[in-house]
Amino acid sequence: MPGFGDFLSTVKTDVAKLIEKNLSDYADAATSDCDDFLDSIKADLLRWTELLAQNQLTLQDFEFLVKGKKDLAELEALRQQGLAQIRMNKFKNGLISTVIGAARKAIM
Amino acid sequence: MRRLRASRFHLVFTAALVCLLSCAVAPPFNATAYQYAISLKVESLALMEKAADPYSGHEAEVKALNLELQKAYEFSKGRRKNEITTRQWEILLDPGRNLLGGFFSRWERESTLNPVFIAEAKELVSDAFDKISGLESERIKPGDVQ
Repeated sequence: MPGFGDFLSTVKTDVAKLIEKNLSDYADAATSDCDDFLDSIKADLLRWTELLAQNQLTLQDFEFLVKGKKDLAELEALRQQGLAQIRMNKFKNGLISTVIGAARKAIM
Repeated sequence: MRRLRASRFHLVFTAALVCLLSCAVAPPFNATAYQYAISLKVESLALMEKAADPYSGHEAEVKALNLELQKAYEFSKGRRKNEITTRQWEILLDPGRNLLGGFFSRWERESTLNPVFIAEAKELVSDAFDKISGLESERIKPGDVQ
């Protein structure tokens, strides 16, 4: 079935391009988000330590804020999980368009 | 005849693949959910600012805001495949943890809170709300599906 061979070949090529684009976009965005969050943790801890040393924060305040940052890290991890799901949906939508487009070309 | 069979095979194969791929793993964008996150962020930060005053003078406002926050949480819980955002709301609102719920709980226990602490806690809560609304805004809008 030469028609089906062409169809599969087109799907393979187009899907490979789709995967490459999606993976690299996602990896870049996730790495950047992670770096930003780590920078914010460092900056906050430094500032809170200084405020504690100056008695502008009590030990209880400091402890609350540090634990709050930990909670925020958990929210960030959930956000990244959610973003991965969204990207999967977008990738699936792209894959559907690719497959339908390849089928259309092969049949016509 | 062979060409017709090949075309029919293409169609069946494509249809099967499309069905398999079309199951979404995350809910689409919801304007109500987004609006909840944005407006409750503003209201929460405004009320946190008052925590240098005695809690008793603001108890009714805290209770009213908590009611609105619970509505947002229940709305999130009611959406299909929305476990991630629902878990984010749980962490934010938990009085035993250290974001908004924990802040109000501490204010109630200690009656007044230190203004420097309030400013720092507001930043954390603001970020927390941004993570919820930010995730919602990234979701696929119905018009984006082709």
